[in-house]
Amino acid sequence: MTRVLCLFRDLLMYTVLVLGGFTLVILAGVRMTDISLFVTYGNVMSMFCVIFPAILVSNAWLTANLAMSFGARRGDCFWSLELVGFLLTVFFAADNLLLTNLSDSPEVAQIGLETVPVLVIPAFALVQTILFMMQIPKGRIARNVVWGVSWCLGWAIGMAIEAVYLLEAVPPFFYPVALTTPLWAIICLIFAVPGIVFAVLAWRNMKKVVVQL
Amino acid sequence: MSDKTNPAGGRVLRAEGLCKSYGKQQVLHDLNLTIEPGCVYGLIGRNGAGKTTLLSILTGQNTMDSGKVTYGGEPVWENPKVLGDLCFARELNATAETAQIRVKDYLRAGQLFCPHWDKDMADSLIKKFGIDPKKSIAKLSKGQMSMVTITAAMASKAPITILDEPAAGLDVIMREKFYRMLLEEYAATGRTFLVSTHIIEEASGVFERVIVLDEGHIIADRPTEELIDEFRYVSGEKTALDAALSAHGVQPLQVQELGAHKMAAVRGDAALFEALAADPALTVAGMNLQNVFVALCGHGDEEG
Repeated sequence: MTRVLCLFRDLLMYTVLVLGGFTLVILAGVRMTDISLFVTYGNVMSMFCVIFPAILVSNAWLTANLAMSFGARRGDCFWSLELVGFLLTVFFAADNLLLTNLSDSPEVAQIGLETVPVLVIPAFALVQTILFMMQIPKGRIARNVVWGVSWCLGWAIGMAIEAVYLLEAVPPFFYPVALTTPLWAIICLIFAVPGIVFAVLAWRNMKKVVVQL
Repeated sequence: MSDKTNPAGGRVLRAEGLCKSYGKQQVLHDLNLTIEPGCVYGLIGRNGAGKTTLLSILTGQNTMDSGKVTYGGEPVWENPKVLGDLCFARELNATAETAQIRVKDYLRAGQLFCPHWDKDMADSLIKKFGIDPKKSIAKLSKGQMSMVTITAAMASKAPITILDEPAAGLDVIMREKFYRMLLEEYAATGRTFLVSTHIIEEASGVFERVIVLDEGHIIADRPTEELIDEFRYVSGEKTALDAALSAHGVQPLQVQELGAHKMAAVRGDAALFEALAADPALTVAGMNLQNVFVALCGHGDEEG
């Protein structure tokens, strides 16, 4: 498993560093300039936070196929993908948390610690969905449907969180964006249940996956 | 066989009762195969015969419906001890998603997972082939992709190295170089090579043993010379040829007619060929591996 993780590190580190650098540029832009573009990017980080781990895991899946073609075990690849997905989710949540709290601008919605689970649960559920989806052969309608629905839901929850923080006329049952609020608890449950189902299916399918290069 | 001690240490790669189907189409039928250490095998078969499926199952990269694959008596499937001794270098595809990775990352993966990997060899081959390691696989020509596959196979130093159509994208000079390189490596290390190819005649001099796969069945698994020696073209005037074949109870595998002249591909032993050659009305000529392959697998494609 260590070797699979080494390969992921080699191939994903560059992307993660670029995204980390991008965050620093936005942070500097918000704090040091009046350019509204930086504020806009600061506010869409919640959406990126939900979607990006899944996108990067889909790339990592291709890397896993490469590893398997050279003799890596399926089990090692699966658990490495899970670990990478989890670490990416945590990275993007921390990235979002730091960016919005360090931006020191009233125009950038500050994400509180209590909001982190509401970002992390859907993001990690999407990672499971992607792991399942990548095992469906290319061209199958099911693959496109799963991907399309997941993508839309991911964007939707990211936008909803931003909207709650930025808009003034939002009904009180949206507050706070935390698991203690029934609405957000239900939304997280809606993501978590299929996430668990997809994780189990992905694990089961992984045991008989055909290596494709 | 090579004089060198085989790095597989006498371990045999064996498939028993292998069956595989895709949907309703059965690709492999109750297939048995033994890959002995220290030998260069050729796997030949028509398009769709099941070659790639067989090779990927042998290396644990594809599932089977039934049967088992073992190496040194241990199952291959998800067995890290065994998988490290097997390398399956497959044809790279520019349209595949994995083709976006760079050549150096592809080779880095090989280095990480192949315990016998020779980095110096990989670097020198990539340099020799003139490939920019920073280029993505998708940006390489078909020939260069084949060269990357060959580099990975050679540098893996795996005791059992399997190459799927390694020469497909290479020009004739590069193919010659590849086969020379393969033989040099074989002579130096005694590694076992199993090479699938469509370019049969060029490769026939390299294969010590040839496996012919037809519609999911192994129809020949013999030393190359022995297999070729079992076949002859017998030609002559049509009635004379038919009479001679019928007298010896021979069913021709393939027949070509031109006017009153007829030529038949015949399988038999030395005694039969001597008897046919003794008939002054007939001419008996030897075959090459490609002719043998056509005689064995050309069924259903006869003209006229």
